[in-house]
Amino acid sequence: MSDPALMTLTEAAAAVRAGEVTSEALAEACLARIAAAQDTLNAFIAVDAEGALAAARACDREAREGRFRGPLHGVPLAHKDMFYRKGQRCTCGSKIRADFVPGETAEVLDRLDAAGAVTLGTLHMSEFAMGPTGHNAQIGRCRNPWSPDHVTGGSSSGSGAAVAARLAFGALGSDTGGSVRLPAAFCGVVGLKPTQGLLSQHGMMGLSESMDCAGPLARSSADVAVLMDVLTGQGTHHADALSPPVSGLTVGLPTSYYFDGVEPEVQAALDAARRVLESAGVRVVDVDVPDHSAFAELANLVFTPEAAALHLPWLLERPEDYGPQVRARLMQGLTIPAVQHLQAKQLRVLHARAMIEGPLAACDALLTPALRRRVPTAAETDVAAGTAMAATIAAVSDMTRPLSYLGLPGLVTPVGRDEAGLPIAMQLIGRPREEGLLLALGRAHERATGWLAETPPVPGAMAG
Amino acid sequence: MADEEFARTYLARSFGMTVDDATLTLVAGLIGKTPRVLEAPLAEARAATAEGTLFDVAPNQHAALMHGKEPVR
Repeated sequence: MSDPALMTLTEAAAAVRAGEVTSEALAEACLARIAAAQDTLNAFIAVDAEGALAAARACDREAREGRFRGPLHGVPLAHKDMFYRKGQRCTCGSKIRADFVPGETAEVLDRLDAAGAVTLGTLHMSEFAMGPTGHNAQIGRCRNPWSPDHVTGGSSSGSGAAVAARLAFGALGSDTGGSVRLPAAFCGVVGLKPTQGLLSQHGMMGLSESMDCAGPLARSSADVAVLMDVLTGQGTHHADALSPPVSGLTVGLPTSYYFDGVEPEVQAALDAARRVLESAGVRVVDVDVPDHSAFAELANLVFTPEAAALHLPWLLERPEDYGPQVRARLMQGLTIPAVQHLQAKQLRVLHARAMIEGPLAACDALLTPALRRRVPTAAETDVAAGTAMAATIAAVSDMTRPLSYLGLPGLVTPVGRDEAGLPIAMQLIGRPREEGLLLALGRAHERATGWLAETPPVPGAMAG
Repeated sequence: MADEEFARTYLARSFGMTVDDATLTLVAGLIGKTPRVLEAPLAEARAATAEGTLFDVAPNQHAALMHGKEPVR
């Protein structure tokens, strides 16, 4: 039998339900791959092998009795180390919270638990979820499974790496400016930033109350749909959205900002994605969008004061315990006047409405790059708090941050590989609460291409 | 230099905080930039209203917009 960890989440869940594989076998397969890959990838902060195997065996006992908790029964997952679980250490990728033990469990974890998921451990993240590359001055950086010299994207760095390397069947990340979408894009998996406020933030480390979103990463849009159904408690709303054909839908290509200065390899992959969608009967058209060039900066006016307010006691008492880049960004948040923060939030209302009533009324979704350039190396982006910090962060997150500002849902799925073998991804932008439509479009593209079937090499692990 | 001095004084008075020169430079850069970031989008948005203000736009209308509920004001 080939490595069961290579199945998708939906395949694994179906195999457990059919009695074709045990949850214990799935957990063991994932744990073996984690053990083989951890030194190279640094994808996990903590692995709970004992707990995962015990939970898997419990699922198997129930399955033998014909009892299934839910659609994730016996499926091993792992999550960014910022979703609280009562009594278990949650570091938030930081030195400051190295020994923090929460007294409550995040609602999103409760929902996954209730659906039968098995938890393998906690995943690497940028310090306090601040950083779009996956660098972390406190715990070292997470490495891209496709090339350890390249960054994973962040801040849900471990979520992207673990799902891509088949260390877990799916993962939770969080997205405040691109932190689900960037690691999904850089590591070649599917990631969804849901509509602002759709998923519970209870028991999730806060960064920006206006822009934080939990979001799932997995190996296909169908897998993400199952996770979204569990996370929202909306029955099979997202899975059902995959059934209708996408023919007749209209996808818009923004005529300004998003395609400005796109590297040729990225453009070629996006052109190919357009042709794939057109072959599926999707009408792809150019569409004018309002000027988004200021949105990344406006997002900073919203996010950094909110983050600084949360961190102020530690900034005063333990400034040396932050990495230089995180400390510098938080300090910047302290100096943004409240009036300007609120003005940026007023404009957010108007800009979101303009998108919904403009391009997203004319089109069912918009297609943009997830990143204008190829995935950068760690060396290119290791700028700490130097003068290159702002430009580097902007260059990595300038496709994703505007969407966080607007609050709209965004799906990232792979559309190609660059010359070095690193993934290239598209971002699909939708109307509020229309994640299902984005997942349907993503699935249509995925079924016609093979990018998600490719597995990066994991040291010491079984081949696919 | 004026921005750096303002930042040093502001952080000290508001938060009792002293910062190193490198961080001060970053912070001061933002102080100079923030009004410019807002200038054009605010002018455009105000120009589109009858009163030339954003008096009737409350930030929490965003949540209503995302979730299809009636605006709160």
